[in-house]
Amino acid sequence: MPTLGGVPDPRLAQSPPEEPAAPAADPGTGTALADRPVEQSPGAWQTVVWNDPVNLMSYVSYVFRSYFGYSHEKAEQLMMQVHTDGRSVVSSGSREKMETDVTAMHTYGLWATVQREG
Amino acid sequence: MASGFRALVRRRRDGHVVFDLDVVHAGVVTEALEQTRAVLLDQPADGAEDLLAPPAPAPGDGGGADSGVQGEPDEFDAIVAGLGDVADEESARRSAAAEAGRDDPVVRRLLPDVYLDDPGASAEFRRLSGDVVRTHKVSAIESVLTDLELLRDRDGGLAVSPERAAAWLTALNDARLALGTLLAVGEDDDLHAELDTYEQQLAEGGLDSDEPADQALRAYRIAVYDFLSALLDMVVRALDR
Repeated sequence: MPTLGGVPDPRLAQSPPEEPAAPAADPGTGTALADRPVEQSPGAWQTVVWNDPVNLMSYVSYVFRSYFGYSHEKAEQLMMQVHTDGRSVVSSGSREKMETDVTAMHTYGLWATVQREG
Repeated sequence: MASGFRALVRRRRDGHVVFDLDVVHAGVVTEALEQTRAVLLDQPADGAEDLLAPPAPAPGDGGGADSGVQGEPDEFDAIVAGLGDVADEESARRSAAAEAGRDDPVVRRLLPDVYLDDPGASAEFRRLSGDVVRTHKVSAIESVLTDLELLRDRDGGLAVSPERAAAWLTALNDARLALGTLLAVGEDDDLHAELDTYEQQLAEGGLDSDEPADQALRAYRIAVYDFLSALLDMVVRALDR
Protein backbone atom coordinates (compact mmCIF):
# COMPACT_ATOMS: atom_id res chain seq x y z
CA MET A 1 0.00 0.00 0.00
CA PRO A 2 1.74 3.15 -1.16
CA THR A 3 1.68 6.04 1.26
CA LEU A 4 1.58 9.70 0.29
CA GLY A 5 5.24 10.13 1.11
CA GLY A 6 6.34 6.93 -0.60
CA VAL A 7 7.71 6.36 -4.07
CA PRO A 8 5.23 7.64 -6.69
CA ASP A 9 3.39 4.97 -8.60
CA PRO A 10 4.14 5.73 -12.28
CA ARG A 11 0.77 4.37 -13.37
CA LEU A 12 -0.96 6.96 -11.19
CA ALA A 13 1.42 9.75 -12.15
CA GLN A 14 0.46 9.67 -15.81
CA SER A 15 -3.23 8.94 -15.35
CA PRO A 16 -5.09 12.23 -14.73
CA PRO A 17 -6.19 13.65 -18.07
CA GLU A 18 -7.14 17.31 -18.37
CA GLU A 19 -10.79 16.85 -19.15
CA PRO A 20 -13.95 17.87 -17.36
CA ALA A 21 -14.75 15.24 -14.80
CA ALA A 22 -18.19 13.67 -14.52
CA PRO A 23 -20.42 14.99 -11.73
CA ALA A 24 -20.01 13.26 -8.42
CA ALA A 25 -22.00 10.06 -8.23
CA ASP A 26 -23.02 10.47 -4.61
CA PRO A 27 -26.19 12.58 -4.41
CA GLY A 28 -25.69 13.03 -0.67
CA THR A 29 -22.63 15.19 -1.22
CA GLY A 30 -23.84 16.97 -4.32
CA THR A 31 -21.94 20.19 -3.98
CA ALA A 32 -21.73 22.50 -6.97
CA LEU A 33 -18.02 22.93 -6.23
CA ALA A 34 -17.39 19.28 -6.86
CA ASP A 35 -15.96 19.48 -10.33
CA ARG A 36 -15.30 23.15 -10.84
CA PRO A 37 -11.62 24.01 -11.05
CA VAL A 38 -10.59 25.12 -7.59
CA GLU A 39 -8.86 28.27 -8.89
CA GLN A 40 -12.18 29.70 -10.16
CA SER A 41 -14.04 29.20 -6.91
CA PRO A 42 -15.05 32.34 -5.07
CA GLY A 43 -13.62 33.38 -1.75
CA ALA A 44 -10.37 34.52 -0.30
CA TRP A 45 -9.46 31.46 1.74
CA GLN A 46 -8.18 28.00 0.89
CA THR A 47 -7.89 24.53 2.37
CA VAL A 48 -4.41 23.12 1.82
CA VAL A 49 -3.65 19.41 2.32
CA TRP A 50 0.02 18.66 3.03
CA ASN A 51 2.10 15.64 2.17
CA ASP A 52 2.94 13.21 4.94
CA PRO A 53 4.68 9.84 4.92
CA VAL A 54 1.96 7.92 6.78
CA ASN A 55 -1.36 8.42 5.00
CA LEU A 56 -2.18 5.80 2.35
CA MET A 57 -2.74 7.06 -1.19
CA SER A 58 -5.91 4.94 -1.47
CA TYR A 59 -7.25 6.47 1.74
CA VAL A 60 -6.50 10.09 0.80
CA SER A 61 -8.20 9.68 -2.57
CA TYR A 62 -11.20 8.08 -0.83
CA VAL A 63 -11.44 11.01 1.61
CA PHE A 64 -11.43 13.58 -1.22
CA ARG A 65 -14.24 11.70 -2.94
CA SER A 66 -16.42 11.01 0.07
CA TYR A 67 -16.08 14.40 1.81
CA PHE A 68 -15.92 16.84 -1.13
CA GLY A 69 -17.93 14.67 -3.53
CA TYR A 70 -15.10 14.95 -6.09
CA SER A 71 -14.99 12.54 -9.03
CA HIS A 72 -12.54 9.66 -8.98
CA GLU A 73 -10.32 11.47 -11.51
CA LYS A 74 -10.27 14.74 -9.62
CA ALA A 75 -9.60 13.04 -6.29
CA GLU A 76 -6.68 11.08 -7.78
CA GLN A 77 -5.32 14.26 -9.38
CA LEU A 78 -5.41 16.19 -6.08
CA MET A 79 -3.93 13.24 -4.18
CA MET A 80 -1.07 12.98 -6.69
CA GLN A 81 -0.47 16.73 -6.40
CA VAL A 82 -0.12 16.38 -2.63
CA HIS A 83 2.23 13.48 -3.22
CA THR A 84 4.47 15.08 -5.83
CA ASP A 85 4.26 18.82 -4.98
CA GLY A 86 4.06 18.38 -1.22
CA ARG A 87 0.71 20.18 -1.00
CA SER A 88 -2.53 20.80 -2.82
CA VAL A 89 -5.35 23.34 -2.55
CA VAL A 90 -8.41 21.10 -2.25
CA SER A 91 -11.13 23.71 -1.68
CA SER A 92 -11.61 27.45 -1.43
CA GLY A 93 -14.29 29.78 -0.15
CA SER A 94 -15.18 31.70 2.98
CA ARG A 95 -12.95 31.44 6.02
CA GLU A 96 -15.70 29.69 7.98
CA LYS A 97 -16.22 27.12 5.23
CA MET A 98 -12.48 26.48 5.03
CA GLU A 99 -12.33 25.97 8.80
CA THR A 100 -15.12 23.44 8.41
CA ASP A 101 -13.24 21.65 5.60
CA VAL A 102 -9.95 21.62 7.51
CA THR A 103 -11.72 20.31 10.59
CA ALA A 104 -13.17 17.49 8.47
CA MET A 105 -9.71 16.71 7.03
CA HIS A 106 -8.30 16.55 10.56
CA THR A 107 -11.12 14.24 11.60
CA TYR A 108 -10.05 11.94 8.74
CA GLY A 109 -6.43 12.25 9.86
CA LEU A 110 -5.14 14.28 6.92
CA TRP A 111 -2.77 17.16 7.63
CA ALA A 112 -4.55 20.30 6.39
CA THR A 113 -4.47 24.03 7.10
CA VAL A 114 -6.50 27.16 6.28
CA GLN A 115 -4.70 29.92 4.42
CA ARG A 116 -5.45 33.14 2.59
CA GLU A 117 -5.70 32.78 -1.15
CA GLY A 118 -2.71 33.91 -3.19
CA MET B 1 4.14 -1.78 1.44
CA ALA B 2 2.90 -5.05 0.03
CA SER B 3 0.29 -6.74 2.12
CA GLY B 4 0.92 -10.28 3.23
CA PHE B 5 -2.38 -10.53 5.06
CA ARG B 6 -5.37 -12.55 3.90
CA ALA B 7 -8.58 -10.67 3.13
CA LEU B 8 -10.13 -9.66 6.44
CA VAL B 9 -12.77 -7.22 5.17
CA ARG B 10 -15.39 -7.64 2.45
CA ARG B 11 -18.52 -5.93 1.19
CA ARG B 12 -21.71 -7.97 1.31
CA ARG B 13 -24.35 -7.73 -1.42
CA ASP B 14 -26.67 -5.75 0.84
CA GLY B 15 -23.92 -3.14 1.29
CA HIS B 16 -22.87 -4.20 4.76
CA VAL B 17 -19.17 -4.48 5.47
CA VAL B 18 -18.07 -7.81 6.96
CA PHE B 19 -15.04 -7.96 9.24
CA ASP B 20 -13.38 -11.36 9.61
CA LEU B 21 -10.80 -10.58 12.26
CA ASP B 22 -9.99 -13.45 14.61
CA VAL B 23 -9.39 -13.03 18.32
CA VAL B 24 -5.68 -12.29 17.89
CA HIS B 25 -6.18 -9.64 15.20
CA ALA B 26 -9.06 -8.08 17.13
CA GLY B 27 -6.86 -7.98 20.23
CA VAL B 28 -4.04 -6.19 18.42
CA VAL B 29 -6.41 -3.56 17.00
CA THR B 30 -8.12 -3.15 20.38
CA GLU B 31 -4.82 -2.46 22.12
CA ALA B 32 -3.77 0.07 19.48
CA LEU B 33 -7.13 1.88 19.61
CA GLU B 34 -7.35 1.94 23.40
CA GLN B 35 -3.92 3.53 23.58
CA THR B 36 -4.74 6.01 20.83
CA ARG B 37 -7.86 6.99 22.76
CA ALA B 38 -5.76 7.43 25.91
CA VAL B 39 -3.40 9.78 24.06
CA LEU B 40 -6.37 11.76 22.69
CA LEU B 41 -7.83 12.05 26.18
CA ASP B 42 -4.41 12.91 27.60
CA GLN B 43 -4.41 9.82 29.80
CA PRO B 44 -1.24 8.08 28.63
CA ALA B 45 -0.67 4.68 30.18
CA ASP B 46 2.27 3.91 32.42
CA GLY B 47 5.04 1.55 31.44
CA ALA B 48 7.65 1.45 28.71
CA GLU B 49 6.19 -1.71 27.19
CA ASP B 50 3.08 0.07 26.02
CA LEU B 51 2.52 0.41 22.31
CA LEU B 52 2.21 4.19 22.41
CA ALA B 53 4.07 4.93 25.64
CA PRO B 54 5.97 8.21 25.36
CA PRO B 55 9.71 8.18 26.00
CA ALA B 56 10.57 8.54 29.69
CA PRO B 57 11.10 12.20 30.62
CA ALA B 58 14.70 13.21 31.18
CA PRO B 59 15.66 13.77 34.82
CA GLY B 60 15.14 17.38 35.81
CA ASP B 61 12.61 17.92 33.05
CA GLY B 62 9.73 19.67 34.75
CA GLY B 63 7.36 18.54 32.02
CA GLY B 64 5.25 21.70 32.12
CA ALA B 65 2.09 22.33 34.05
CA ASP B 66 -0.40 20.66 31.79
CA SER B 67 0.04 16.90 31.86
CA GLY B 68 0.27 16.28 35.59
CA VAL B 69 0.80 13.04 37.43
CA GLN B 70 -1.65 10.23 36.83
CA GLY B 71 -4.36 10.16 39.45
CA GLU B 72 -4.10 13.84 40.23
CA PRO B 73 -6.78 15.07 37.81
CA ASP B 74 -9.39 12.76 39.35
CA GLU B 75 -8.69 14.00 42.86
CA PHE B 76 -8.69 17.57 41.65
CA ASP B 77 -11.99 17.05 39.85
CA ALA B 78 -13.51 15.43 42.93
CA ILE B 79 -12.59 18.41 45.06
CA VAL B 80 -13.76 21.10 42.67
CA ALA B 81 -16.95 19.17 41.88
CA GLY B 82 -18.05 19.76 45.47
CA LEU B 83 -17.52 23.51 45.20
CA GLY B 84 -19.52 26.17 43.45
CA ASP B 85 -21.05 25.86 40.03
CA VAL B 86 -20.42 22.45 38.51
CA ALA B 87 -21.27 23.65 35.01
CA ASP B 88 -18.58 26.33 35.17
CA GLU B 89 -16.06 23.82 36.39
CA GLU B 90 -17.02 21.43 33.63
CA SER B 91 -16.57 24.15 31.04
CA ALA B 92 -13.19 25.16 32.48
CA ARG B 93 -12.12 21.52 32.60
CA ARG B 94 -13.03 21.11 28.94
CA SER B 95 -11.05 24.18 27.92
CA ALA B 96 -8.05 22.89 29.82
CA ALA B 97 -8.43 19.45 28.27
CA ALA B 98 -8.68 21.02 24.83
CA GLU B 99 -5.17 22.40 25.17
CA ALA B 100 -3.77 19.48 27.11
CA GLY B 101 -0.99 17.40 25.68
CA ARG B 102 -0.14 19.76 22.82
CA ASP B 103 3.57 19.41 23.53
CA ASP B 104 3.24 15.73 22.56
CA PRO B 105 4.13 15.19 18.86
CA VAL B 106 1.54 12.38 18.62
CA VAL B 107 -1.20 14.72 19.88
CA ARG B 108 -0.06 17.45 17.46
CA ARG B 109 -0.26 14.97 14.58
CA LEU B 110 -3.71 13.70 15.59
CA LEU B 111 -5.03 17.21 16.28
CA PRO B 112 -3.07 19.55 14.01
CA ASP B 113 -3.30 23.33 14.14
CA VAL B 114 -5.88 24.77 11.75
CA TYR B 115 -3.55 27.67 10.85
CA LEU B 116 0.00 26.94 9.75
CA ASP B 117 1.84 29.85 11.37
CA ASP B 118 -0.65 31.06 13.94
CA PRO B 119 -0.83 28.88 17.06
CA GLY B 120 -2.92 31.55 18.82
CA ALA B 121 -5.64 31.55 16.15
CA SER B 122 -5.49 27.74 16.09
CA ALA B 123 -5.98 27.51 19.86
CA GLU B 124 -8.81 30.03 19.67
CA PHE B 125 -10.49 28.02 16.92
CA ARG B 126 -10.21 24.83 18.99
CA ARG B 127 -11.81 26.59 21.93
CA LEU B 128 -14.66 28.11 19.92
CA SER B 129 -15.34 24.91 17.98
CA GLY B 130 -15.53 22.86 21.16
CA ASP B 131 -12.51 20.73 20.26
CA VAL B 132 -14.75 18.86 17.82
CA VAL B 133 -12.00 16.83 16.13
CA ARG B 134 -10.93 15.24 19.40
CA THR B 135 -14.57 14.41 20.19
CA HIS B 136 -15.14 12.82 16.76
CA LYS B 137 -11.97 10.77 16.95
CA VAL B 138 -12.75 9.43 20.41
CA SER B 139 -16.32 8.49 19.48
CA ALA B 140 -15.14 6.74 16.29
CA ILE B 141 -12.61 4.75 18.32
CA GLU B 142 -15.29 3.81 20.84
CA SER B 143 -17.64 2.65 18.10
CA VAL B 144 -14.90 0.40 16.70
CA LEU B 145 -13.97 -0.87 20.16
CA THR B 146 -17.58 -2.02 20.54
CA ASP B 147 -17.38 -3.82 17.18
CA LEU B 148 -14.09 -5.41 18.23
CA GLU B 149 -15.63 -6.70 21.42
CA LEU B 150 -18.33 -8.43 19.35
CA LEU B 151 -15.64 -9.79 17.00
CA ARG B 152 -13.66 -11.23 19.90
CA ASP B 153 -16.80 -12.85 21.30
CA ARG B 154 -17.61 -14.61 18.03
CA ASP B 155 -14.06 -14.92 16.63
CA GLY B 156 -14.79 -13.12 13.37
CA GLY B 157 -17.68 -12.56 11.01
CA LEU B 158 -19.22 -9.25 12.05
CA ALA B 159 -21.37 -7.35 9.53
CA VAL B 160 -21.84 -3.61 10.06
CA SER B 161 -23.52 -0.83 8.08
CA PRO B 162 -21.32 1.30 5.77
CA GLU B 163 -21.85 4.26 8.13
CA ARG B 164 -20.56 2.25 11.05
CA ALA B 165 -17.70 0.86 8.96
CA ALA B 166 -16.64 4.46 8.19
CA ALA B 167 -15.69 4.85 11.87
CA TRP B 168 -13.11 2.10 11.26
CA LEU B 169 -11.40 4.34 8.68
CA THR B 170 -10.65 7.19 11.03
CA ALA B 171 -9.98 4.99 14.05
CA LEU B 172 -7.49 2.73 12.24
CA ASN B 173 -5.85 5.71 10.58
CA ASP B 174 -5.47 7.57 13.87
CA ALA B 175 -3.71 4.56 15.41
CA ARG B 176 -1.44 4.48 12.32
CA LEU B 177 -0.72 8.21 12.65
CA ALA B 178 0.18 7.75 16.32
CA LEU B 179 2.46 4.78 15.60
CA GLY B 180 3.94 6.41 12.49
CA THR B 181 4.82 9.50 14.54
CA LEU B 182 6.49 7.40 17.25
CA LEU B 183 8.37 5.37 14.63
CA ALA B 184 9.33 8.65 12.91
CA VAL B 185 8.34 7.08 9.60
CA GLY B 186 10.09 8.95 6.81
CA GLU B 187 9.61 9.27 3.09
CA ASP B 188 12.01 6.54 2.07
CA ASP B 189 11.87 4.22 5.05
CA ASP B 190 11.60 0.53 4.36
CA LEU B 191 9.95 -0.76 7.51
CA HIS B 192 9.66 -4.27 6.08
CA ALA B 193 13.42 -4.45 5.55
CA GLU B 194 13.99 -3.18 9.09
CA LEU B 195 11.64 -5.82 10.49
CA ASP B 196 13.33 -8.55 8.41
CA THR B 197 16.76 -7.52 9.70
CA TYR B 198 15.48 -7.58 13.27
CA GLU B 199 13.97 -11.05 12.89
CA GLN B 200 17.15 -12.33 11.24
CA GLN B 201 19.26 -10.99 14.09
CA LEU B 202 16.92 -12.61 16.62
CA ALA B 203 17.13 -15.93 14.78
CA GLU B 204 20.91 -15.73 14.74
CA GLY B 205 20.85 -15.22 18.48
CA GLY B 206 22.26 -11.73 18.73
CA LEU B 207 20.73 -8.29 18.40
CA ASP B 208 22.92 -5.58 16.99
CA SER B 209 21.90 -3.16 19.68
CA ASP B 210 22.75 -1.96 23.19
CA GLU B 211 19.05 -1.59 23.88
CA PRO B 212 17.36 -4.89 23.02
CA ALA B 213 14.12 -3.89 24.78
CA ASP B 214 13.88 -0.68 22.72
CA GLN B 215 14.59 -2.62 19.57
CA ALA B 216 11.93 -5.21 20.40
CA LEU B 217 9.38 -2.45 21.08
CA ARG B 218 10.22 -0.76 17.77
CA ALA B 219 9.86 -4.08 15.91
CA TYR B 220 6.51 -4.68 17.60
CA ARG B 221 5.31 -1.18 16.68
CA ILE B 222 6.36 -1.73 13.06
CA ALA B 223 4.49 -5.04 12.94
CA VAL B 224 1.31 -3.46 14.35
CA TYR B 225 1.65 -0.42 12.06
CA ASP B 226 2.02 -2.74 9.08
CA PHE B 227 -1.05 -4.74 10.07
CA LEU B 228 -3.17 -1.61 10.65
CA SER B 229 -2.07 -0.25 7.24
CA ALA B 230 -3.16 -3.45 5.49
CA LEU B 231 -6.45 -3.49 7.39
CA LEU B 232 -7.19 0.18 6.61
CA ASP B 233 -6.51 -0.44 2.93
CA MET B 234 -8.99 -3.34 3.02
CA VAL B 235 -11.69 -1.17 4.63
CA VAL B 236 -11.14 1.58 2.02
CA ARG B 237 -11.46 -0.95 -0.79
CA ALA B 238 -14.59 -2.51 0.73
CA LEU B 239 -16.30 0.87 1.16
CA ASP B 240 -15.19 1.95 -2.30
CA ARG B 241 -17.24 -0.71 -4.04
